[in-house]
Order: sequence, then structure tokens, then C-alpha cells
Amino acid sequence: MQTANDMDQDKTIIRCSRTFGHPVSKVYEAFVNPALVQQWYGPKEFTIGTVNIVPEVNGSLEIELVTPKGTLWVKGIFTEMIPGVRLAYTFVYEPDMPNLGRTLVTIHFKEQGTATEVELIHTIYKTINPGGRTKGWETGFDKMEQILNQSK
Amino acid sequence: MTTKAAQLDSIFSALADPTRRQMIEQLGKRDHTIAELAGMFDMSLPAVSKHIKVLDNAKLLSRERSGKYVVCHYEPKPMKEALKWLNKQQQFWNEGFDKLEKYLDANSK
Repeated sequence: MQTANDMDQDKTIIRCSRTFGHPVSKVYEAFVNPALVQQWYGPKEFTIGTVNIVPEVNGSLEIELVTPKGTLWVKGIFTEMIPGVRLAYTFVYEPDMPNLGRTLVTIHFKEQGTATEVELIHTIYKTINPGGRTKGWETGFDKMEQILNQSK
Repeated sequence: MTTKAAQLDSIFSALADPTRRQMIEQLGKRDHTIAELAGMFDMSLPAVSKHIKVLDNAKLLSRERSGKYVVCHYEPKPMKEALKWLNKQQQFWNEGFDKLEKYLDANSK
């Protein structure tokens, strides 16, 4: 569960936003209905095998990813579930490579007329931000590129 | 665990510590001796050496003896590997959203 204390930890945040031209109820369902999750989860070279979802807080989520290099699972527990508004679940790769431990996926849904804005935030409680003292590093890579360039 | 995953593991672990990240940030600007780092971070030589060893194990720096000093040099390659991994995870979601968009468009009346 996310606590206030987590906010102070060093972390890496990956964000992904998209506006879908569909009503929020439909978009939300695509994140919790196993048959729908199977249609889209993961990058394009992955196919999705078994999907088990218990759609309730403390319910489990298990998604089998069939990758070109073998089978991988995403496993987690729903920590928050407000239909049409917000969804959060812990996210662990099995096998866990690299060893990231528990990460958290939070998805915010915002109704925009007949469309739906979705913002997904994937929080990894480890950081590679060399400059970050209090704030988490976010994708954008500015700081990192700066460091890489400095050192040639 | 594959070598690559083990390498990523050691990078993430090495950089989990704020002092070590600050050391890398300084070494990214220019090389420093362990004594210089000790001064900059107000730490004892053994304490700095401990951090340097962790960074060295993750191959984030190389050490070279110059007379009685040990000079540390930042090695950017492992950092690039870590970035590559994060990029892949970003792609995981971006491409998933591409597929979701297509699916929703194809299945709406």
C-alpha cells in the first residue's frame, strides 16, 4: 500500500498518457476485464497467455506474458479500485529481472466528454537518478543525458 | 539470473544510495581521487572507499593508481544499460496503449 512515507523515498517514475476516443466506462473495463486485458497488455512483440484478475481491493492480478525470449508473469494485488476514476496495483515481474522488488502501477481515468484521458504511472522504488536527492527521477532523461554527455 | 539482469541489479542497488548517486554526479563532471571525494562528502577515507567499491562492482567507475593517490573515473556504459531497461519499460506501456487504442476502435459500434 502506498503510504505518505513512500512519497519521500527515492523512486523512478515512468509515465504514459493517452486520450482514448471512448467513454470512461469502456476504457476502465479494458483494465480490469481479463478477456480485454488479454487484447492489449504489454509491448507489441509479446502475446498474452493466461490472465487471472480478481477485480477488488486486495484482489490479485496475474498476467502471463509470452515474450520472444520465454514466458514471464506480471503479478500483483489491487491496492485501489474506484471504477472510472482510479486503479492501482502492485506490479512484480516473475522472474524478477532486474531485481526491482515491488513496484506500483497507478492509472488515473479522466472523462473528457465522450473521450477518456488515461494517465498511467509506474513507480519503481529504486532510482538511477544520480542528481536526485529528494525528488524521483522521471522519464525524460534530461539529467541522465547531461551526465552521459559530460563524461563522453 | 542472466549476466545482464545481474548487472542491472548491481547498478540499481549501487544507485539506490543517495551518497553514491552524488558521487557519480561529481565523477560525471571530472575524475576525482578518493581523498578529494572524502573532502567533498565530509567522510572518512574508509567510508568513501566502501562506496567506491560498490560503484566499482557495478562497473560504474574505474580506479587507477597515480603515485600515492587512487583516481576514480566514471564509466557511463552501465548507466546506459539501466536507461535502456527503463526505456523498455516505458515502451511496455506505450505499445500496450497503442494496442488498446486499436482494440477499442475496432470494437466500438
